[in-house]
Amino acid sequence: MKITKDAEKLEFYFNENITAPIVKDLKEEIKETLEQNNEYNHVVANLSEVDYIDSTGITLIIGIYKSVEESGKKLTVTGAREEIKNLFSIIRLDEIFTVQ
Amino acid sequence: MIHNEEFINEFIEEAESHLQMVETGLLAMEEGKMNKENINNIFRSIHSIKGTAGFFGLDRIVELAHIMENLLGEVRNEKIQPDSVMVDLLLTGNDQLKAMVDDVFNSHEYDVSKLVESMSNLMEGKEATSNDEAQKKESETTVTSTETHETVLTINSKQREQIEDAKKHGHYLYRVKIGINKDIGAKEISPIRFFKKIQSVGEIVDSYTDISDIKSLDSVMDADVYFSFVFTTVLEKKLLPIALDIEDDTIEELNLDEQLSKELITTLSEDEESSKETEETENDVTEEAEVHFEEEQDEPNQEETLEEVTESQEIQSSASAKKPAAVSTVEDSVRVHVSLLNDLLNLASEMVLGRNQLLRNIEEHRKEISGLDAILQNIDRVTTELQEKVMQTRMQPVGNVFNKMPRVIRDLSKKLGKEVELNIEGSHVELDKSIIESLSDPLTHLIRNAVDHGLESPDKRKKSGKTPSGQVDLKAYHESGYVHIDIVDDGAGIDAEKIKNKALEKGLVSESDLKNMSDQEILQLLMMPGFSTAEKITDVSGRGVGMDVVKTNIEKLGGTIEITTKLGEGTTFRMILPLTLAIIPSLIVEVDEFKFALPQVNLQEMVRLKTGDETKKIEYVHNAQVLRLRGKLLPIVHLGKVLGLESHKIKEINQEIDDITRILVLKVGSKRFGLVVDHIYDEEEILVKPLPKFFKNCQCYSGVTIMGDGKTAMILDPEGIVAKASLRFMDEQTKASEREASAQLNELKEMQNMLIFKCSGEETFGIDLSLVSRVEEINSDSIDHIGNKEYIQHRGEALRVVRPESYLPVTKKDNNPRKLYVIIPKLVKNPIGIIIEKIHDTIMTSIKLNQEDIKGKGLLGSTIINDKIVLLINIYELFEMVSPEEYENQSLKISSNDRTILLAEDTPFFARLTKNYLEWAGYHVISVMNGQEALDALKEKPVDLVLSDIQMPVMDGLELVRNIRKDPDLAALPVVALTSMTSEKDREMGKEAGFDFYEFKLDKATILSTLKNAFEMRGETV
Amino acid sequence: MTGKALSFYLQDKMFGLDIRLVKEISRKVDFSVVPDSDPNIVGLMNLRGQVVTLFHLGKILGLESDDLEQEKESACIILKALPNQPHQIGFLIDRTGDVIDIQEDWCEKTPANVEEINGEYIQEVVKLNEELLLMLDTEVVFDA
Repeated sequence: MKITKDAEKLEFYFNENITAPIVKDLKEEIKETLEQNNEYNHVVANLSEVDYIDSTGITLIIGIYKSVEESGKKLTVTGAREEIKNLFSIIRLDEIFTVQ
Repeated sequence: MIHNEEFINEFIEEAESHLQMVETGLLAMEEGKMNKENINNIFRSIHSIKGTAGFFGLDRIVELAHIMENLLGEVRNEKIQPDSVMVDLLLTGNDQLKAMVDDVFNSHEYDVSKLVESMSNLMEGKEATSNDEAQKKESETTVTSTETHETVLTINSKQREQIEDAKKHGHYLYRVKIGINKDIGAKEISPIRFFKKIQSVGEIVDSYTDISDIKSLDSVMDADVYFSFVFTTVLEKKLLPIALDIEDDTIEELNLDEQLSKELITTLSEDEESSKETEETENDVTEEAEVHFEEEQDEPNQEETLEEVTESQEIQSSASAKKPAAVSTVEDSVRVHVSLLNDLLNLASEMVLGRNQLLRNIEEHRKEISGLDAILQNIDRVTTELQEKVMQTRMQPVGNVFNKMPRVIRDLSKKLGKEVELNIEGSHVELDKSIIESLSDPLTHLIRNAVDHGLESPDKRKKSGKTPSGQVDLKAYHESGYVHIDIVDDGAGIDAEKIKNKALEKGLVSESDLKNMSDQEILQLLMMPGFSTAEKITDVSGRGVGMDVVKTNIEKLGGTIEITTKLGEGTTFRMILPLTLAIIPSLIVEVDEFKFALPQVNLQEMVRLKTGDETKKIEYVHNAQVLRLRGKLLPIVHLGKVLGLESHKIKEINQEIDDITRILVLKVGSKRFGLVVDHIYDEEEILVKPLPKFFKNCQCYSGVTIMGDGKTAMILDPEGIVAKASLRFMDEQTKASEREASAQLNELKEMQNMLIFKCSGEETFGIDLSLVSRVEEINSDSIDHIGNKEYIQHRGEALRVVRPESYLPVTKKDNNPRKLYVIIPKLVKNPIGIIIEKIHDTIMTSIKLNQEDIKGKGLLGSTIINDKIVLLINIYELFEMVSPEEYENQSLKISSNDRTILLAEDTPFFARLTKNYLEWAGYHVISVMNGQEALDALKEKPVDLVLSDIQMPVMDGLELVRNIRKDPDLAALPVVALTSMTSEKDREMGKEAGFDFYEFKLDKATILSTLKNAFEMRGETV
Repeated sequence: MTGKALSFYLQDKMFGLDIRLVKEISRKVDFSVVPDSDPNIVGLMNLRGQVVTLFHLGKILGLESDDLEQEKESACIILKALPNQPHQIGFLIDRTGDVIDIQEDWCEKTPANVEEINGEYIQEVVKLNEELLLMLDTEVVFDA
């Protein structure tokens, strides 16, 4: 996973499928990054290279949202494939955060 | 105004089912079974009714159901404790709902305001609740669970359309609740795949995602996202978990309820609060975190589910996750209209018959055509199975009718102040739908009887050492191809003596009949029409149903009722019912080239009589034909005669076809008789088709069938045949040997039916019943006096009445009882009613007339019956004494003597009577018993005239006169018929046979003048 | 009435029936006599598995009947089953006539007794070119 920052947003770029073991590894990193970069208002989760996301992965995204939202920030999910977009749409996550 | 009328029948059916459950539930509640489940069930049922009633715009029903639901809601929330008063009120409300549902098109005219008020008061009196608020929100379209009947969610019109559309295509509606990790992840299913699958098997109507479990990134590994969605799919409940690869318990089936025709509310903002009452405290979840569009108008329970889910990981404890309770659930069933089932049944039955025909016809060729055998066997097997399965579709559990009984018992026991415990067994036993329907009334009646007449009062019971509370058992079980339904009470039992007495009193049976009845037969008297007076018609049983109607109804279904009882211990009424109806085995018989079908169920045996066979013969007793069969005597009926077929009118004695008489021994109830037919064919299974209404006056037929050759044949009704032939069943006595039977037969021949009675004095009188037209009970006030004559109004005319003791040499007293009886005589030109005070008995006995001992005008003689002296009244002389002007006619006497008349008459009484007045008129009389004896007598001694009865054994009157005419020596003899058969046809037949005159038996004056004419006619001067 | 009527002949009189009431016409009438039944009933007929009660229309209308034999060869009209009358009925006729289109103005009210028949049985009378068509009122006729 790559973390990039620019003027407006903090981006988590996932370059592999988000599955349980990955989540386990990544979540600490994400958590710390978020805590340390509190000044950003906009967090982006980039799923351009994600082919597959499992239930834990979904939980992770939501977890990110929760953290972000707590501090009044916004979360956007970008680059999601059709299928994953569809998934988010079904479970209505696209109503909580933006999915592009 | 009712909307959506075309679905109204379904509503009614469903509502009735709900109402029944409510009643059961309320009764249980009263007995202290106050568990939550019970109350919930009741609540849901009422709620459901309210909902569907609203759909149809049945405002009154909605109104009442609404208040009841409120009340029940309070009970459910434990804000009110139900007591007897409340239960009563609710039961009354339930009854009212039932009434309105039954009369659905007029339901808006029912006034429920009083009930509503009472219930409101009740609620207020206990505690005011804020439930009302929640209730008034129920105006949107809601989706409720079929299992719990609780509202799941509210939907907007677009969604409603979606659901309705799906439903139209036969789709189901479900709610699925899963935790993404728990249910999908754990199984290593891709969520993408999963949700794709959902979309492929159905359409999501609405959904709700709960992410509140995830508090932060920390908990990501442990938390779960809860997703619940409502969707339509074509899949059945069983298949869904398999298709989606999830657990059954995550799926719940739903119903669409619509209330009132109001427009649906779509917006969110309203009233979450009202439904969240007690859950507030548990509701940690912040609103924002919950993703939901529609308002959840849930009962607190419902809300609970989701909340709980967030709080603790326990999901299972709430209402909606509960397994379906005792309430009937919708499991893979389909609604089918009864008429469709009936059609199916008919078709299946015709199939069976077609198969039978096919097999019969093709039997010989079975081996010839290769492969045919296997094909036929297959068709055979499939047809049988088809019929069986279709029969099963109509089978319903008898519990449907049993479950109405607790209410009957409850109300009755309250009314009568008796404690009753009802025990029901075998509710699951199944019977054909139409039988179930017809059972309701008889069963109610029998149960009522058991409680009312069977069980004693608690005090009485205590005194006899019984438990104060009476026990009634209602059992259903299978036995040897039939279904038995027993109604057992542990009450006082039935006193056979009382039954005997009552039956005698009502003239339903005679002493001699009773002597020969088995215990069962005596008890069966209970169910004779006319046995019980004014059956109380209570609200509970509704229509007045007498025991005889119960019996008839059961017998109509092809069943029987048996009674067993033990004095002091109790009684059992047992109904024995067949399992199926439409196809019955029967025997094809023929009379006069008409074919008929006779149901096998009544057939006991077939008898072929060959002339000359002494062991089986047709005899005559009292003008009726009987068959002596193995010592027993059976009355005989000629089918042709009963049906009025021409050629049979002339036949009276054994008419044989090829010298063989074919008799079918049939049993109807406990009576047996023989039916004579021309030919007997095969046994056939026939499909019973209902008798067209145009034949309802034909007692002899119970239905129509189509035979193998395509022609229609009538199905005979043995009971109807009996009624039409008006058989008087005689006692069948079991005798060991032929000789005894023969002797007995002779005895019977001389027996007469006597009416034994008393007037105001001590003496006992007797009169032959054949002289009696009727006996009527009158009030002494209704006797009019004109001069010193007495009259009563009889059939719109004044009838002269007399008291025998005023004319006969017997004692007379002034008892002046209020109640009197009048004997209206038969066969008398100007009848006079005979007033008597007490009817003793009607007995059949042989008369040995003692004419010497007691003599007097008006008396024929005396005889001893049951050790008593009975004076036999000579009705002619009595009438002569009363109205000499009318009766005495000296001109009827003949001047010269030595006219001899040969009198052929088999009944001693009449013989005596006739001989009496013939001798009074101056004739010599030779008296013989039958035609044969007459011929013999004629050979020995010349007579001047023959006076003959028609109905006589050995040789009847017709044959006698024919023989006389044949004989050149006798041909010129005047022969006059003296008979009780006086229709035109009879007269014609008589004249044809050779009688000169044909006269009414007891019309003395006319007879005597006819005799004079007869003599004159033959050219002699008198 | 207006509309189509099926005409038929019974003893040389022409009768008519609203064609909507007619289920079918059967030419070969194979029926079974039922002993001890109403004299107006000729018997029962098997119509493809359904039991049809056949009436003697002539008798009901009070017409002098010819010998019964002749009728066995003739035809019968079977009426459609009504919702409140599940039992099928039919009646014997001598022969059928044409289907006639009836115009309103051809119809007249029935006189009390028309051609020896009680006017109650006839709904209305239609004047055709040369003949008189007597329209049967089936409800009255078969109110057996």
